[in-house]
Amino acid sequence: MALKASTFTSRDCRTRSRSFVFQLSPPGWLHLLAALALAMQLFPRCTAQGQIWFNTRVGGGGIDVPVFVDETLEGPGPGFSAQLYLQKEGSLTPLTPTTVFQRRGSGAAAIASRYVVPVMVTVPGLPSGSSATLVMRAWESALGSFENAIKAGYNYGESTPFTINLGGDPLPAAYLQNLESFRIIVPEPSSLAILLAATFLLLALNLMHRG
Amino acid sequence: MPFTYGFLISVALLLVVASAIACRTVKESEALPVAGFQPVERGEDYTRFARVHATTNSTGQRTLATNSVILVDTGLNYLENGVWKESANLIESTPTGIVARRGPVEARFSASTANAALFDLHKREGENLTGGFRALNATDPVTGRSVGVAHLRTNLTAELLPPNRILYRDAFVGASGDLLLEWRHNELAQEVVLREAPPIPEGIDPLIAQLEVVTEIRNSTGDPAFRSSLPAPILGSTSGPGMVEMGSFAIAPPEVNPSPGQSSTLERRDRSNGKVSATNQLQRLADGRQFLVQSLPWRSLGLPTGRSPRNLTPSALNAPRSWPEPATNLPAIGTPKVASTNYEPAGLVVRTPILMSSTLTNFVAGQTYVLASSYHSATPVRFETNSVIKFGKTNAYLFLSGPALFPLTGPGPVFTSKDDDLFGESIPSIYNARGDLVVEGTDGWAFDFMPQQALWIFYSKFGVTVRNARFRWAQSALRFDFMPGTNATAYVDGAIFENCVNGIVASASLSTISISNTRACNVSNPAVGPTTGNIKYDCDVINASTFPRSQQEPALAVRNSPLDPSRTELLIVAMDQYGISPPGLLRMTSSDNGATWTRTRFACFADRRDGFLPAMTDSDPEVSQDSFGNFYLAYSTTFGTAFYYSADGGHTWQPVPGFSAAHTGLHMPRIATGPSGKAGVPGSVWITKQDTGRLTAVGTAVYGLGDVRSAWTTEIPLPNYGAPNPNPPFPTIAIGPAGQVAVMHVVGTGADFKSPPVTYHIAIDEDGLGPGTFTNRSSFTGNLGWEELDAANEVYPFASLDWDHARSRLYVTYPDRPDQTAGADANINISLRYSLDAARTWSDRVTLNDVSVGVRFQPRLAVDRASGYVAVWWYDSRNDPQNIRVNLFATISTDLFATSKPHNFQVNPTPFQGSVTAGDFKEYMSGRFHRGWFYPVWLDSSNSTGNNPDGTQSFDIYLARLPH
Repeated sequence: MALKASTFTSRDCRTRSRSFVFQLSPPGWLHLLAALALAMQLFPRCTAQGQIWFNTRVGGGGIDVPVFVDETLEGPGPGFSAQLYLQKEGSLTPLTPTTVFQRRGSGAAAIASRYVVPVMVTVPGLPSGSSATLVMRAWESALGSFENAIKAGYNYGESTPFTINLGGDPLPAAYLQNLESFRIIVPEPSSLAILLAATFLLLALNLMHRG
Repeated sequence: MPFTYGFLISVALLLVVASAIACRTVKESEALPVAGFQPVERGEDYTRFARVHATTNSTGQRTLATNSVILVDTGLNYLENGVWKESANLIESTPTGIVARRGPVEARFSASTANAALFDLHKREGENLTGGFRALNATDPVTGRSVGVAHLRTNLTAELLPPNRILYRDAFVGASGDLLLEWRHNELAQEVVLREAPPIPEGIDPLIAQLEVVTEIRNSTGDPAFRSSLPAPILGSTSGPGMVEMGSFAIAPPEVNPSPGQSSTLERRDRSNGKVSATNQLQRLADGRQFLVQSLPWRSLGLPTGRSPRNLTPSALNAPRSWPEPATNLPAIGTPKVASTNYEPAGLVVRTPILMSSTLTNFVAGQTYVLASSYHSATPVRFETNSVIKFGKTNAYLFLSGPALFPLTGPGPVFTSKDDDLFGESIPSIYNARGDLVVEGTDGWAFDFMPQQALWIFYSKFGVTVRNARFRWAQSALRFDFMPGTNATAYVDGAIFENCVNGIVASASLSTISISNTRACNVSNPAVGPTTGNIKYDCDVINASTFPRSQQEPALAVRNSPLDPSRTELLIVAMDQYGISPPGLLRMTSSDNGATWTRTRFACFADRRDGFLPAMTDSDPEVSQDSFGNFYLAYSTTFGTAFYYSADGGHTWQPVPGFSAAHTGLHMPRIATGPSGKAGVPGSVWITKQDTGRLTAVGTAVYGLGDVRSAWTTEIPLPNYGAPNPNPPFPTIAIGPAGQVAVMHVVGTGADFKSPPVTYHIAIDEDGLGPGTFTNRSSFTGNLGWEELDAANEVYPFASLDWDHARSRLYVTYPDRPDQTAGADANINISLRYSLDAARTWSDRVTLNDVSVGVRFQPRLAVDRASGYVAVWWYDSRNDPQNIRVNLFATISTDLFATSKPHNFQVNPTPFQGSVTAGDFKEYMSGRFHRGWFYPVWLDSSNSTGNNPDGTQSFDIYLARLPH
């Protein structure tokens, strides 16, 4: 069997890629299959970059992933940022752009603050149709970043990792299928604060008792 | 021993017979004495018709039952020589005079006006009523002056107008007109026919004057029980009818109308309601004579009306007046003759009905009655539990002037149209002995056969309380008339008004109706006149979920039990505790039309032991049913679309065989069932699959209850949907009468494909399960895109489709704006279109909401396959200026939308709203229109039922039950 490398230009991708032309000899079909499998592993498919419709609520789309503040039913609201991260080989790569949560309305729209302002997110290095594992993070914008929020110890939260098939031309942008709801961690009262509060309460009770 | 054997055999035979009687269940092979309705019992005021009726359940077992309907008609039969005979409306000329004798009341008529009494009514028990017309007066209600303008000629010979009328032609001195007497077995009507207006006497203002018809009457039972104490002279009252009761007779308020089909200068009607207002009063003179005085505005005779009548002054009430001279019997003039030509009244007719009182005073439990004409009783009448009284004529009514007794606990009596088949027996066509149609059998279309008034309670000193009664399909359901000027109270407690124009109508100004525990559904005016207390807008609303936290996205399926077709089974599936705890679904089943429920949480993400694929946070559940009784359930999961069916009313489920759930993201599955479109395959079930960037629909064969097979159609993307549009298509699916399948979806415009105008595309698979596939059929535009609102987090242009098989009409409803330029602050309408050619062309849109104020969203549509009625329901904020709180509103078209704006009605009593704790309204609600019953199901946080575990802090799944 002889194997001869060649090149061609993809009309779809407009990028020059390497590929192979096979000259078959018996039992060529076995070699062909092996080569195809090898090619699929070695070379990326000839499609656009992956896209995600970063929207935590898509009516009629099966996407309804509210984010709550602590144990309340309130959403974070516009003071909080949200961002998707690509999880790959144990590390997280932030995807852009970031977005913020919507403002709280009245009536049924009171829950709008649980959902982000939708944006289109591109996943560099992964083509449309490929699988990606993601994490969604949210933090108080005033703290500057998710990492700062972690350092501060409050007003941040993140989802469990979830996997989707990326969209992008020719597919529509992917929804956040499989993303699950999570909660924002809020500051817990420090030991000193608790001690001061308890002291104040005891003093107050003592004064009342004397009075 | 022989005695013992004989005894045992006898006992065995008795047991067999008793068993047969008790069960009345027979095998298929036995001959069944199924017959139509036959008269089986008669009384003076009724005839009972009965038939043996057979029903067959799904196992082939047939059961016999005896159904009966009682025809109620006062004086329907009379007893002659111990035998009941059917009364006849027949006047005969005999050697002794003119007489009507074929009825329980014998009526004698004078051969000429020379007699003091023109009519003489005899009850066979000896009671009688005599009298006749005397004069026409003109009365000025302000000055109290009353002047005679015409009186009866005394030299007229009666003309017979076979079979049942007597005419005195040119009967008046001073006015042009005739006097007509019409006899029926339950009524004598005196008609004064005026061909032209009499000249008005000087000094009497024709604009405020009253024309009075004065009739002398005399009875054998002493004082009449006159139930209207209007003092003489009657003034320009627009109400205040008076009923003069004399033993078994009662003189009803006069009916004043131009004669039908006649052109006359007297045809001018009162502006207020199209009919001339007229009243009764009774005057007893010192010499013992009694006069019935019937008054109507002079201006109703056709004279110009430039101003309104003036108010009455107290001094005018007691003004003196003159009365006709005492009548004497003069020598008879000639003999009665049969009129040579037919006679039709021409002019204004003042008709005075003299009614016979009914002897039927007990409407027994569970029995169905149908009224052939108006029913009157001055004696106590009892309505028992579940008695059903249907009105066989639109002018038939129950007129009670005595005590009325209702059951203390429900369900009480039902008053409804003869065409209402949802309560009591279906009414057959009933003919009398001569072959005349007495009551036309039901056609099932109650909306076009509504009695003018169902139950009419005239002023009674007995303190009437109408309790636990259900009124349906009446123009005015319950009418009260009080003695004007008196202060009285009647009570309505626990009543239900459904599908009526008016609920309670009270005509007095000082008296009042006290209302409690009463509700109305699909009633335009629940209470008219002086009432206290409220009638709730409440279409029998119940809380189906009663679960903690919110349930959302409900879907409903309905079937009749295959074993007992009289039992209605309901299935609701909804998202449970969305967003709060691990996602799951809540299944609610009822086998008794919603009276009791079994609730099961299932498909919980945290607990997969129940065999269902676990639900997602937003699984968009959908359920449906087919004609065999199968229920279907579908919802989205992370593993694909879950698709199950149940043959036992939703208690146990099996995966639909061969269904492929392969996907890259499936959302909002929609289900439809119907014919297959393929020879030899009795049914089909279809489901939409909304994959990433494509929309498909696939169907498979159904052969019967529990017999769903794997014979799936090829899955091919439907046209007009895909990249780069990222938005869900909001599919809706329906199956046509020939098995053709229609799928509609929506696409917006703009960079994000969310802006208006949106396009609704419809694709058709013409041969259903056959080899053909979906092709683009048509489209139309809507003016509402994806919009965020306060009343709902977001409003989607989600359409709802259904197909009327019997009439081949395809309907769609969708939220809409008046035009494409309307801003976001403009009101949202509910639009409807229909297609008569399987979606090739569409009608112009019909706006269904009957007010413009407010926001409306999530319209759903359902066709009752049996009747063709179409129900549409939606959330509506019309009652809240802030557009935050909503009610459920609905409309039901009974005329295929010939009326462009059908009446809207409020389904639930209390407005409600979404909130942080309850959540929002999500994308859809649900409902069905099944065999005459309309069942909308929706999210409700009002806690109007009082059993939401979270009060008003969460959504529960509410269901309304309107028998339409």
